[in-house]
Amino acid sequence: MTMLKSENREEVVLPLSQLKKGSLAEVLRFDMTDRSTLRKLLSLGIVPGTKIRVVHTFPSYVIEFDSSQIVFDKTIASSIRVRLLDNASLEGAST
Amino acid sequence: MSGQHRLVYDERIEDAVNRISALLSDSYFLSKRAVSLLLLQEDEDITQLVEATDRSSYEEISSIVEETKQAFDRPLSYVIGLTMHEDALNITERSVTRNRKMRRSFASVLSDLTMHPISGIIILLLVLYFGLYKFVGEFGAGTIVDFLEENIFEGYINPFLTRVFEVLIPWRWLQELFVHEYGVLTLGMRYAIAIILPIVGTFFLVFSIIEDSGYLPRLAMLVDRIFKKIGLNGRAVIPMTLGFGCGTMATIVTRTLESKREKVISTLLLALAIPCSAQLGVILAMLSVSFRALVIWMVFVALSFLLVGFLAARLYPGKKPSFYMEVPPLRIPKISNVLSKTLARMKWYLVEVIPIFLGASVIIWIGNLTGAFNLLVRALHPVMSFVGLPSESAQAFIFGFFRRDYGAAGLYDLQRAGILDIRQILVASTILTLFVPCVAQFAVMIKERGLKTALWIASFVFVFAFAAGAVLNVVLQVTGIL
Amino acid sequence: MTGSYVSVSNYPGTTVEVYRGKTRLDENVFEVIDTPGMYSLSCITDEERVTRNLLLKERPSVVLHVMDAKSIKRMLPLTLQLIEASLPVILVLNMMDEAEREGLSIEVSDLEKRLGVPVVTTIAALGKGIDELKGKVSEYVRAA
Repeated sequence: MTMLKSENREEVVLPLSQLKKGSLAEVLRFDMTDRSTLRKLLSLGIVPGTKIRVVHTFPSYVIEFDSSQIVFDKTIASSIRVRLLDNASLEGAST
Repeated sequence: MSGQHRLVYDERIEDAVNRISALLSDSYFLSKRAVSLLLLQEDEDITQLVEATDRSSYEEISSIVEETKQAFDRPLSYVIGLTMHEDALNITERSVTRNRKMRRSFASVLSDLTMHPISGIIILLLVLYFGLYKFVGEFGAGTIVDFLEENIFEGYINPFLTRVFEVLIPWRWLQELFVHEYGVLTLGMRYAIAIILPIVGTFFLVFSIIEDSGYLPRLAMLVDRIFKKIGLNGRAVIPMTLGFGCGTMATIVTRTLESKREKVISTLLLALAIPCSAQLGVILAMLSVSFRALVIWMVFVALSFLLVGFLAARLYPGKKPSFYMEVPPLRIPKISNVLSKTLARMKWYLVEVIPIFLGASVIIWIGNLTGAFNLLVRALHPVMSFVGLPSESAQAFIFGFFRRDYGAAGLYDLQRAGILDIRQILVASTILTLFVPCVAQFAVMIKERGLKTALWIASFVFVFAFAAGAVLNVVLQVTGIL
Repeated sequence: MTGSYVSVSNYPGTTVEVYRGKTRLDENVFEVIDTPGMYSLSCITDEERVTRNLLLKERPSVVLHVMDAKSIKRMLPLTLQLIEASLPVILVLNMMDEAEREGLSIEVSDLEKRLGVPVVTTIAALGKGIDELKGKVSEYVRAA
C-alpha cells in the first residue's frame, strides 16, 4: 500500500515563487546563504515542514499557515524550496 | 519556579555553550547560557558587549565561536533557531489543538480584496479620498479651522489679547512680540491651535483607525515593488504615510526600517517630497481655485519623490532591502483605542513641536525688529526672480524655513491680497512643498541621522526645491498649460 | 495594565518608544514598561534592540511575554529564549476570543507544566483575564 502511494505520487520540488495562487505546499529547505534573511524567516515561523497555502503572488507573495498570513517579496519567495501538495485546488473555494 | 523548560541543542553546540559559559563573568543580566548562544549566533551587540566586559577571555571565546561555525554548513543562527522552533512545535503539539477549519469570513474576503493588484488600488484610492481628502481636508482643514480661526481667534481671543497687551505694554515694538501681525500669541498660538492642531488631529485620528484596522501591512504589500525602485521596501510605507501627518514624527518612526541606507533615503524623501498635514491643508486651500493646478502640483511632487528616490537608491550603495511582514487580520478598530492613540499623538505634538514653533515666532519677531528679514528678503530677490515670483514671496519662504505651514500661510495671505497669479501660486506651493523641513523635523533629523547627514539632506533639498521650481515655471510658461 | 497607556496595536510598526507607567498590586507599586514588539532575542530591527537593551540593563521583576494566542506556535520560540535567559517570564496569550473563533483550543495547565512558567489567557481589549494576570504577577514576585 505504502509503496503504491509513493510510486503514484510524483515529487515536485520547486521554488515557492513558481507556485500558483491557491496552491498548497510544504516547506522543504531554504536556498539562501544570507544570515539575516534566514533568521527573519525563522522568526516569522517559516521552518522546514511548515504546510503553507499561497494566497497572493502579485505584487508580493502572501502565504497562509497556522491561521496567520505573511507577506514577502519575490527574492525571498524564490529562495524557499517547497514540495507541492495540491496545485491550486483551493482556488475559487470561496463562498 | 523549578522545573523550567530547557532547550537542548545539537551536542556540538551544547559543548560550545558550556565552554563559553565557563569563560564568561557574572556581569550579564541574561543567563550565561543565553549569552553564549547569542555569541554563537554572532549577534553584533552582544559580541561587542562581551568584548568590552570579558576582555581577557574574549579571544578564546571567539575562537570557540569560529570553531563551532566551521562544524556546520548552515549559519549557527539558523541551526539554533530551527531547534527552538522544533521544540516549540513539540510543546504546542499536545496543548494546542485546532478543532475545525478556518471559515472564510467577510473580513478575510475584504482582506483578499485589499491585496489584489486592482481592487487593492481602488480601495487605496477610496481610503485616500474619504480619509484624507474628505475628512482631513474638508472637515479638519476646512470646517474646524474656519470655525476656530474666524469665530474664536479673530472674533474673541485676538482682539482681547491685543487690547490687554496694548494696556500692559506701552511700547509698540514690545507689544509686537506678543500681539499684532506676527505676535507669538496672535500669530504663533493662532496657527498652532486654530490651523495646525485641527488638521494634525484629524489626520492622526484617520491614521490611528487605519493602523488599528490592520490596513498598513496590506498597503506595504501593494507598494513594495515600487518602493524597491527607490531603495526602500514596502515596510517604509508606514513612516511615509505618517509623514503626511507630521514629518517630525515620521522621521522618528524610520527607526523601524532595517538598514542605515533605508533610513537615510526615507529621511531624505520625508524632508523633500512629503508635505505634512499642516502644510497640505493650506496648500490644498490655495490650489483649490484651480483643479488643473492641483493636479499639476500633485503629479510634479510625486515625480520629484520618485526621481530623487530613484537617484538616491543608485547613488547610495548598499544591500537591497528584502521585504517580509506579518499580515494581521483586518479588524474593526476599537474606538477607545483609536481615541487614546490619537490623543497620545496630539499630546506629543503639542509638547514636542509647538514650543519649537513658538520659539520660531520669537526669532521672526527679532528678525523683523532688527530689519534682518528685510535684508534677507532683498538678498533673496534674484532667487525669486529666477523662479518667476515677486520678491514679497521671499518672506513666505523665510518663514517656511522656520515652519513649513507658516510659509504656506504666508503665501495664502499673498494670494488673498491678489499679489500672486495662479501660475505663481502653483510654482510657490511646489517649491514650498519640496523646500526644507520645518525646524522641528530638522532637529529630529540631526538627532536620528547625525548632523552631517542632516545638513547634507537639507542643503540638497534647498537646491533641488528652487531648481525644480524654476523648471516648473519655465515648463508652464512655454507650454501655456496654466 | 496601568490604565494610563496600553499599546494594543494590530501592527507594531509605529511603536518605537518605550512607554512607562505605574501600577499598584497589593502593597507593591510596579513600574510598567511597555516596549516595542520583538520576534527574537537576536535582534533585527532597532525597535527590537530597544527592547533587548532594556532586558539587559534593567533587572525586571517580571517579564510579560504578550502574544497573539493564534500565533502561539510561531511565537513560542521567543518565550523559550526568555526562559533560557533566566528571565522571570509569564506567558500571556492575548486575543483568546479570536483564537477560539478560529477553532483553536489551548490547554493552559499542560502548557504551564511543559514550560515551567505561568501562562495566562486574556482578551485585553475587553479587560478579560487581567485580574488573573495581576494575581499571577503578585504571586510570582512574592515567590522570587
